[in-house]
Amino acid sequence: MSGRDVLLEVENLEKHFKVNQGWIASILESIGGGEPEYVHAVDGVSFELREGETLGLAGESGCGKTTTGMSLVKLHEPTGGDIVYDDTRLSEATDAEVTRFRQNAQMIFQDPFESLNPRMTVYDTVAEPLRIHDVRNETARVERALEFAELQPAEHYFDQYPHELSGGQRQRVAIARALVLDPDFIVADEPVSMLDVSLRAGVLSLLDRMTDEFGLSVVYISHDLSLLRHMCDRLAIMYMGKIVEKGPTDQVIEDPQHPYTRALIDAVPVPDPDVGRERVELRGEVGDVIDVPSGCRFKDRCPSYIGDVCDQVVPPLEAKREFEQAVACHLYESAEGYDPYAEMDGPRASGTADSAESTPADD
Amino acid sequence: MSQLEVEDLEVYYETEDGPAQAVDGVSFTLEEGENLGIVGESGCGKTTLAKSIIGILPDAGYVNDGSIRFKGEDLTTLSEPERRRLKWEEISMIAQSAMNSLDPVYTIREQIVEAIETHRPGTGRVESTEIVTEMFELVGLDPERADDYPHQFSGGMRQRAMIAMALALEPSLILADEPTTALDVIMQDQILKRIGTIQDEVNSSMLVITHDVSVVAETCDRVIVMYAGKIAEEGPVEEIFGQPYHPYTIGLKRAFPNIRESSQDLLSIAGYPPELVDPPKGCRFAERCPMATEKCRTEEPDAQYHEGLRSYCHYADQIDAELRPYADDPTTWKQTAAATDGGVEE
Repeated sequence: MSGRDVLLEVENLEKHFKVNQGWIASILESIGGGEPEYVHAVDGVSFELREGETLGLAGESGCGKTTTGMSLVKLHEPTGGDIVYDDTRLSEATDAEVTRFRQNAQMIFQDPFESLNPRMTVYDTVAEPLRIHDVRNETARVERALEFAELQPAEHYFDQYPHELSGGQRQRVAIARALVLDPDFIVADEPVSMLDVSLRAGVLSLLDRMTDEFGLSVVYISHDLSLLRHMCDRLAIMYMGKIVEKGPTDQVIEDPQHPYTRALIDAVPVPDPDVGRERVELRGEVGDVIDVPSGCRFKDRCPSYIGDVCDQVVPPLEAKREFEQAVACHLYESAEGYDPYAEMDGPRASGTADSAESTPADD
Repeated sequence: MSQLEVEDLEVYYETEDGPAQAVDGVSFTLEEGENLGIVGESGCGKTTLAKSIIGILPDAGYVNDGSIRFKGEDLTTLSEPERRRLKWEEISMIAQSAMNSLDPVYTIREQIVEAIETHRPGTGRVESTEIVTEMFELVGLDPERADDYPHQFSGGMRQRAMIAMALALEPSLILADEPTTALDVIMQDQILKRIGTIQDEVNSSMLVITHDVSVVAETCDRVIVMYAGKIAEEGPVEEIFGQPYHPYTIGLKRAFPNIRESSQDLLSIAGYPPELVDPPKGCRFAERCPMATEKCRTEEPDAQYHEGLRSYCHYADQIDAELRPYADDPTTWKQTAAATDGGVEE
């Protein structure tokens, strides 16, 4: 797996959204000179996407997985950090380079009832990206994309409108639209969660074929760990805008190391009444991503909290001595000799914690 | 006498093309303190079934035939005031969307107190406040936040407030319609655990309606698998998830990934459920079943009983002998998809 070439490198990606306070509050703020508040949706996320792999981004609602996915295809302009594609830093890319990137980065959304324009036929929906990017052979390409998505014969669907199609068929149209430009990678955000169980496997096998037959890379975003285990080569678990654990899927699911990953996996119900499972109850709810806590973001709910170091030092996502996956937690000894205790106390504490945060992870 | 006895229930919806038979000849019983799961895909009639029990069918829906006996009383013939007496006090419902079930202009406390005072006239303010505090603690909410309005709660908190309300009068039957589908997995786990604790305390029975077979596997004693308005199979969870006899149950079970297994070949059931306005004559699953024969398309199957299971399949008696390995193999279902041309027509 690690032998594959890196297609995309995400470096310390940040996306913050300004909190909308209403006009009175903003006037008061501009008079009083107060600082505007920001939602730290994605707050320093680094990973690489390799050619032909499926990488899963998992976490609960609000953890920043969708924002990360949308930033990957440039539907959001990042607040900080960068994406490196084909030796080009997107922050420094020329317009032509950005256009080429957009052609190679496509997205499939959760809800096929909302992601397709109800007034466009299937043909126009799939052909639209070709027209935007001025690609020739329109009809042949649309036909091929629809047939790959198992909408056969393609001509039969050309003049249909979304309302004439079932949920599964609509999601297949969305897949055909994403594939028609022959992209390098696709971000799929909960692509089957709106579909009935009996139809899910069909759409999932399409995504599998994209990686197997075309060598496409897929970033699969979902809260459903059972599905991610089935689909992904590697997994990254997110909590409050940060990746807390990242590694080969089987490793992360079978032997999770971060206390949050453990709680998350333990909470997944098992479709087998004979299997008992541990139930760890976490305290409280996901914290505030506006006024972000110092140190580890999981500390208030953590069953393995070990004291001041968790309060003061942001744990970097890094390789550890004892296992294969990268983990952002002070419980384990760094493989690189990083010592979080060296950053505690003293006047330097807060400054160095920031730099620790950006230590690139090695997986 | 069982607590709930549903017999040959038919619930139809009036449509332009004639009545849609959303629930068609469903019979089952629920014992006191028992948890019964109802699983199936959207449109199989599971929510309609729950709504007809508590009497909140939409205007177009009506009970065409059959009976729903709760503690011996037929709910389908009750007058509106009689039904209102039962609601909350005897039968309560946890709906999927807590936001739509809570009134936005009243605080949570006002809503729970109103339910208590309506059903138990004479309950003093002090006593009902105590009940609210107790219920909030039970579902893991801070009682001080009872005076908040629904919009001040997060989704998970609202769902828990809804559960507190549904349980405040210690009903003997809880209808839980996708109680945790809108929630994240950690919250879902905590809420299911809490419902279990509360149930033990007040000894109520529960009907869990969901599409998620794992939730049913963990919370229920028995399961009904519904397909297109009819029961496909019914029995103890261990049997349904262990050795089912109906091909649809086998397919559904294999369509779900299990987090405990690394490489799984997921199964896809080709085609789509039949129109309920003009349902097929024979077995309703025949069109999508890889084992269907001419008999399946023309004759409606009767129940067959094996190992505590009630299975509506003509060939249930042959499943053990030869058909199970065949039905358990995803390639079998793929071939059906190709043969019927149904693989694309979903």
